[in-house]
Amino acid sequence: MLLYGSMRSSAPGDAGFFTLQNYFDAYGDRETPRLFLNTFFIVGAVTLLSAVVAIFFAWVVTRTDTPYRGAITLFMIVPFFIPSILEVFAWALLLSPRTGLINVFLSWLFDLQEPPFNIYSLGGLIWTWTITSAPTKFLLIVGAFRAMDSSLEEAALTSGSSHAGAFARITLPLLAPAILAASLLTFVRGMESFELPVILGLPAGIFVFTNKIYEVLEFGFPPRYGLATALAVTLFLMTAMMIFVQRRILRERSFAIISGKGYRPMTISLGRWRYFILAICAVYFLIATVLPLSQLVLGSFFEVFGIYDWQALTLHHYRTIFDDPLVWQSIKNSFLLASAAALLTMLLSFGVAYVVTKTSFALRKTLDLISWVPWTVPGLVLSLGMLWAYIRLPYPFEIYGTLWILLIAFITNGIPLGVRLANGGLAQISDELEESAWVHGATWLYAFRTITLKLMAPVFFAGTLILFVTFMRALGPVILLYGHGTELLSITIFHLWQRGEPGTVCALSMVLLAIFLIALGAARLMGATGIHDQR
Amino acid sequence: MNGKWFAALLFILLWVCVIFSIFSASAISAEVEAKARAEGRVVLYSCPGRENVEPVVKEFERQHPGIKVQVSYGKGSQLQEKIRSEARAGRPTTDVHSCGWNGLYQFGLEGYLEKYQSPQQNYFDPATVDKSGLTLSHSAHIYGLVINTRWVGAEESPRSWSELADPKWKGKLAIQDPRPGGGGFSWFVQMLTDANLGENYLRKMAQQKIFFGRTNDLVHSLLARGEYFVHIAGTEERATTEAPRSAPVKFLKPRDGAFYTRIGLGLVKNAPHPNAAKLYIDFTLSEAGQKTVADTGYLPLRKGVPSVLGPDALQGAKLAVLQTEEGIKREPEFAKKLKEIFFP
Repeated sequence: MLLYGSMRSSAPGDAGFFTLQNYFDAYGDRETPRLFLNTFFIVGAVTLLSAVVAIFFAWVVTRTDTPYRGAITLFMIVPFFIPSILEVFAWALLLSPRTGLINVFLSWLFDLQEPPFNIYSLGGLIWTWTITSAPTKFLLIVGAFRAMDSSLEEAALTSGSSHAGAFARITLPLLAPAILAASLLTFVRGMESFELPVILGLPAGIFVFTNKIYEVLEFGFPPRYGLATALAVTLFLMTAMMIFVQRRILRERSFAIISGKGYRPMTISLGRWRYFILAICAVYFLIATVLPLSQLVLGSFFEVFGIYDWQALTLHHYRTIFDDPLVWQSIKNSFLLASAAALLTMLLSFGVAYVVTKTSFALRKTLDLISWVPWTVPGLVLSLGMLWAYIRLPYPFEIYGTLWILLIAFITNGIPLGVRLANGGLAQISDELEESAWVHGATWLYAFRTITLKLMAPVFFAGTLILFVTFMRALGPVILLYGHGTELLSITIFHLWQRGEPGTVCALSMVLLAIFLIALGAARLMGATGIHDQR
Repeated sequence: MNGKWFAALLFILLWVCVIFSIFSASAISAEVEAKARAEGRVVLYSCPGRENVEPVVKEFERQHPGIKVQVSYGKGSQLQEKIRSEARAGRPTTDVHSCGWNGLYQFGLEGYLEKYQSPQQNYFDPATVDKSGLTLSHSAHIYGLVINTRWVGAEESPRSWSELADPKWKGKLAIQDPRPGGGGFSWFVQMLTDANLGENYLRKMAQQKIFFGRTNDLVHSLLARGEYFVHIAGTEERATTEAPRSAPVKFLKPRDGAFYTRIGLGLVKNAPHPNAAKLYIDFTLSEAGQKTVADTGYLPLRKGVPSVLGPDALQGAKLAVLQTEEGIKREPEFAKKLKEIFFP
């Protein structure tokens, strides 16, 4: 549908003709080479910087004797559950050039005439992007750090190498495939990122593919769907290429460094430095998590953002959201849709994963590959593709503007992650368990129900929770598909921000955060985050 | 029949006609009211923000219990694209669209609005009534300069549009992004067609590093918190009746010409709740509705309803060029010029 849409002269659902003009417009624009350059430079810088942060914290919590490593891990994981859109809003407020708290404080402290930071700049964009993507990267690589056999490091140390030398010459090269795979994934996710480039990039005039597509649709008068779709096809091809590279690397190398035998990872004694490392971690958490969250809390209680006068203290923003039927409708829709989509995605994913891992079905590899395909489709591109596909369906399938189209978008978007989670879970269950049940006279259904299903229950619920959180905060996959009455919480918050209601956004953020913290608590109870077993 | 009898008969006939029309009008409105109640709700897509719409909605719901108004806010181009998509998908959900008159009228010309003449329009100045029946103007608002009084003192505050071209304002000005229409575009056209300002002035303004915000409300919010010092083409009601107590903002009418735009309502084609929609439109144009509209800071267009901004609020302000016949015709030319000067 994307290819079809990129060659149409009209908007989705309107009469038009086939043309290549959209591609001529897209590639004839002198700004397009800069789009490629910006996308690769910004996302590349973010990938590199977030890798540095993630490697440092993974090393601290798995290979050192720094105190409170469990707490450090927890603080590194919590931001993963905070919707990045809220962090972006918080940073947009904190580093606002003239009124951001950090700028006001530093200007006062050093008697500066000009604000030191501007969030609406290349630096501001890269900073916020790095801070918001580091937790994901940490989660992706910390497992490899923990699972790495340390006998080679020990051998290096025994041969006279220093800790730093062993880390640089042994640890990093050994973990390189895992770090590279995680970096490629972060890179792809960066190319797909929607809210951050739109909220911070557009006002600064910094364009990457996603905010350019959005700009063409939002500021085009009328919206230029053909041009947006031609750009979307390009973005899709780029992400598909990156995913292909990542899969090749994962398949060939990633597990070679982790041995299956029993071992205990080596812990480096840092001596007095361990408190210094702890201080670095504490400062990072203060800056990356506490500061933005405090800004949201503060912003929700003041009449006008930036004017922190005692007399301007108010509960008006909370009253506004509790009185607004649209907010309640959005919360209801988000809950309903995220729950249903998460549950259905996991059911479908388990079906696919079971066929792929436990059966000899001839097309199981093709099925596995198909389940990967949506991974290559950025959320905004999926939204645009679905608009072309579903806008004009015959009765009774008119699903545009209903919750059904959002449900399909979420399931499509979530399938790759669901299948990976289910695959991982099923791979841990030996085929012998079911086979021995059959040998003792059990039917296939009985063996499946009493063995596989029972053993998979924790993975299923953990996966459902992860997908629930993912869908609750998703914006890109649904931004072009919602209609009146099907607004979601993420969409409502985004529109409130665009309408210049930062106080209301902060108040609503508190509600959303409460939902996420409850989900995080539930996930922790079920062991979905793996926090329980951190040392 | 002599003249006396003829006059008496004519008088009785007229009287019967008057009585009949009153009864039939109330019968019609009773029928509309009953159907509206059965429909139960109105879906409104509104460019005017929460502060201007919520009071009207609350008063309407109080007067018409059983009919709920569901509002989606946004900028005109975005809301109109949603209505187009709903129409393409064969799932219209919107009943009433409210926006600046010119954008609304053009949307009507595209075929997305149903013609509707409200009986309440008899109480409006005929000059403000759209003869085509596609739109129903209900109020106006004045555009001028809004300054942040924390940053801009009384002595240094700009008094005219032309003063904004002074380099001292570089990086301190903000305006609604003019590309999708709205107040920012109205300002651009106003300046372009002004004999004293014109293209030269706009080219100087293009050097001023103006911040283009997505919506007028966003720009106002950034101004109130002190991120920018002057909101170009800010509206009076935003800086007066709607501003929170602690917001340091002030509206100024530029010496070289404030301008105003009309805000209208349109009945969306194939509206799922057409009777409730008509009832809502009628209410907004009624005396009670117009008084509520006036309380929000908009200038009511119904005769005899006073504005909270004072009787002289519109004095010295011109109707925006974009809201005239000529302005509508020349819009593509203006859009081209905008791109050339500000977004090359």
